[in-house]
Amino acid sequence: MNLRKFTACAMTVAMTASLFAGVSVHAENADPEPFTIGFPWDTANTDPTWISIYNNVKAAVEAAGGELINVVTDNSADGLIDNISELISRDVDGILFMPASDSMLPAVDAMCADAGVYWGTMFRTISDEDIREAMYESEWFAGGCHEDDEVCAANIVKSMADMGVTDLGVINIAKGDTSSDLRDKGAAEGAEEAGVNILNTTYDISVTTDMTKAIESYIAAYPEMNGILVLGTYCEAAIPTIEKALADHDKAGDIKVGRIDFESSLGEYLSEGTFHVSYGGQQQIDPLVSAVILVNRVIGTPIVEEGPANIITPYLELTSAEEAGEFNEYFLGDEAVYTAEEIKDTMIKFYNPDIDAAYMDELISTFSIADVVERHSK
Amino acid sequence: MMENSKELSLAKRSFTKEKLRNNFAFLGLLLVLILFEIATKGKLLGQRNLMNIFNNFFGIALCAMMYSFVMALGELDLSVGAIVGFSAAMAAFSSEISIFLILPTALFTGLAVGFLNGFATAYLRVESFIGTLAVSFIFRGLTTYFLNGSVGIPIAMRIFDKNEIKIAALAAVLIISCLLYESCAFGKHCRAVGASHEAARQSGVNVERTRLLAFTMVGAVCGLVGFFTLVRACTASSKTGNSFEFDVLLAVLFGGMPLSGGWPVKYRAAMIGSLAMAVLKSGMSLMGIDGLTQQIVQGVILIAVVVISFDRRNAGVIK
Amino acid sequence: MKKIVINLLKTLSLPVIVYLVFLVICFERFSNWNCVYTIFLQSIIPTITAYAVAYGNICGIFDFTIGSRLVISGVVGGLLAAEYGMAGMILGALVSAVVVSAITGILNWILRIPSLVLTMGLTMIFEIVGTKLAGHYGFVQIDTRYAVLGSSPNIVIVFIISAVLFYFIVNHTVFSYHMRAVGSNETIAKNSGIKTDVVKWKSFLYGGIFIGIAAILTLSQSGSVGAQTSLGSVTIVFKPLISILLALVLQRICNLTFGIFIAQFSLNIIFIGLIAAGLPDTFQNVVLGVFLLAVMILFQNADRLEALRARTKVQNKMASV
Repeated sequence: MNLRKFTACAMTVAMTASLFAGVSVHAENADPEPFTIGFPWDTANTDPTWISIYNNVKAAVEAAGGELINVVTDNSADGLIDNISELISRDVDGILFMPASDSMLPAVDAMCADAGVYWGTMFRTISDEDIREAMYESEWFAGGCHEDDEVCAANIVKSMADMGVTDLGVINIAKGDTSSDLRDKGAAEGAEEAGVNILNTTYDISVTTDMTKAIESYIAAYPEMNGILVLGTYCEAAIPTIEKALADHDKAGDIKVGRIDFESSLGEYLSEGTFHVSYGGQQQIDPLVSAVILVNRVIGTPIVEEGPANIITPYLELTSAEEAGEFNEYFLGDEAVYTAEEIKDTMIKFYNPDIDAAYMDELISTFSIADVVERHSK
Repeated sequence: MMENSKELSLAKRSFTKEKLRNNFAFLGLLLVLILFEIATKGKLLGQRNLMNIFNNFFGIALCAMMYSFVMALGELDLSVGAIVGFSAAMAAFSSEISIFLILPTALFTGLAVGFLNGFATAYLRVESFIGTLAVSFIFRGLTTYFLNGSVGIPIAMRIFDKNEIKIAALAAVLIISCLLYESCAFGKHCRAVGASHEAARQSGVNVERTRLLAFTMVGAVCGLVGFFTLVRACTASSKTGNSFEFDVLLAVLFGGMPLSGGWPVKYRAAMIGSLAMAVLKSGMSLMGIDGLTQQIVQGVILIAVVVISFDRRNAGVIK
Repeated sequence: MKKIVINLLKTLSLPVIVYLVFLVICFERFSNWNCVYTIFLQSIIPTITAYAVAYGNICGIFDFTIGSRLVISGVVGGLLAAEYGMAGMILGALVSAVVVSAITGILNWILRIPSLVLTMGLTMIFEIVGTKLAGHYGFVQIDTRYAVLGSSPNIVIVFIISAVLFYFIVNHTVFSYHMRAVGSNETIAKNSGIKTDVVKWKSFLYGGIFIGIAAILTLSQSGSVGAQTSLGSVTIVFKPLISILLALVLQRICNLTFGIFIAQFSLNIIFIGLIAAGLPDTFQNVVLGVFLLAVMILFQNADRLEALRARTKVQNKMASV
């Protein structure tokens, strides 16, 4: 055998070996490639719900070995567009955000498609049919998680009607927000069905003094009012403020109070009997699962092979002070509602190939306060 | 001889001090640039991040350039955010008739609200701070009422969000406003009115018309900002232009522009301040600094810049 | 005496007219005592906040920090209420408000930069101080036992005491004359021997007392005080400022103390009236803006209107001759 033949044989053996080596390297690759997820979120907001949202998204991203990059946002449409542009320039692999409106989404998709970056939404559905159709056709939209705001609002109004409420004063987040509009719509439907009269709606209250003023104005202007429903608000201590205003006018307990989305102070008023009904509890699981959907897409193991994954989180109902206490401890603490380890095992398809849309739906359907307590109580 | 040399050295020292103070905002900008460039390991001035800085800079700079005229008059305009929001909303509605109406509607709406501000301030003698605050309340309320949510425009309009178009628009406004401010009678009239409106009137300056024009120009440029905000997000909402008035005010103050108006108001302060704001925002974001710390840093820097650059000697009474 | 009564009637006619307008629009909702009393109670805290703003306003100082100082004071009061009860809340709110106000005043004195710039920068810092103090939940809540000052009749008593205190300081002290002198022409005031820097510092300090009172009442009325960021606290100052401006218009017929209250009361009638009329709350801002603009135009052009009236009178006389 001359040297040339020997070299050829040696190279063939080496190349074959390296090929197999490559296969074995891939097979032994225990974790996905490192990746980054951009997340515009207002980290200046110290509301525990807002902090827990950040913690839950972080847990989901880190579960798959990713890094979360935050930019501070005001959550307005134009602010978010600037944030997304900034995150794209920072070479992120995916972007998760809470849309300010449907109409901003085509612009987001165009930016992300140009840059080859996946994007996902949390908390908000796409109500506009044309926009939804266009976004669902986009290969860069990973999907998202949202609540059924309309049904939730309709049901809470009906639930209040069952308690004897006939005339309702309503508080909601700013108009134009998809959730706000859907909750308005649902509340109107529920009111019509149950024969409840919606007296007035005040939007976009952000401070306790304005909340007091709104409630006192309702009491003054609508003596017939026997129910107050908070469809949504970014005002901290909303329920304590409402309860205080009602107590000052000797109306606490007489006027039924309901709220969509849980907050930290509900337990106290539930036990006193001055707060009556709250639907919500998705503020932690929704961003977590939204981040999971995006992460799975970014690392190349999408939950749904064709098109975006769309998961609806069912609302929970807070029924007792004890449950409210558990909610504060396990949902609003520093730990996510699923730890990074739990997410890795149960929600990241790279590690668990059984995951698909039906699996996720089933997993979400078992989610409850008791479930989190059981998993995380020491 | 000794006394002469002492006087000379004192004069030299005071000249250097004066020069330093005059250029402090610019030196501050350079310092911020260098610090963040080092802290972000060269990412700040990377090609991609430069576009971020430009996007942060664009809207504020457009408005700040025209705002110089109002500042030169010794006035304030707290309605710029409301004008941006209202003109974006009106432009979004006009797109339902024709997309060709978007730009003219935004410009005309801005101009009309600016004219209202100017008329109230100049001819009805309402203090600009209060008058523009009232106008801001009115148009924020109207924007929310008319929009009843948010209104989108065709995605094709994003074609106007191209950097080339924005740079051209910025250059056009820069050239026009700079020429008007530095080389035309109007800019001098604004400063003269700011220094002393009675003296200006005695010198033949039409004080009312000067005020009216300055506010109208700010309104028009806010319409332009509204247009670019609209085509960037392709949506107008009740939050469009929110707190923009504070961004612009912070930018001109960062640039070292005095509130007293008159001759010390330098045009370059608008550009330097807008750029400094954009660099600061981008640099802190790149470093992963959280929102609370970012706000403290901005507050401290604002006070520090003005403490160092404020000309107390010529200010007379400081309020 | 007769003049005083006439002026009082003239002053009261403003809220009465506004009330009658809404009574015609929505008689059923507006024609009850509870409604008027609620409007009255709602006017108390903004009126006291306006008293705090008024000190700076008289001196010609613009102060963005009022809202953030109110938040800090409320948060400290709330935290101390948990430790030391009502005394802790009252002392905590008052002392913290006065201390933060004194610091603001000292910085205004030594830094010698325009108050608008200084207070804007300080607001950014104070908001974060308030946020950090408020802790994990971003707000502090007090036990209802300590909230007695927020409900009637206690809130009315606190209001009367505050109004008397404000009236006394603004009308019957040497400091009030100094304040007005500084506000109208600081150079002349300085040349007359008034220590203008001290006067300005004191105006922050006295304003701080009323911020403390407003914080106690806010905490007592709402049961909680929340922190604010991103210059969100600045808007707190706007509505009290509007009532001061209206009070200045009314100053020819009534004093500032009463004028501020009447202005705030009239504004609240409008706000509740709009709600009672079933109009969306967005109209509040529009009406507030139009009302403010109209009043300012009338105020600034009173001399022109007077001249026009005189001219018309003369023309009519000439015509009749």
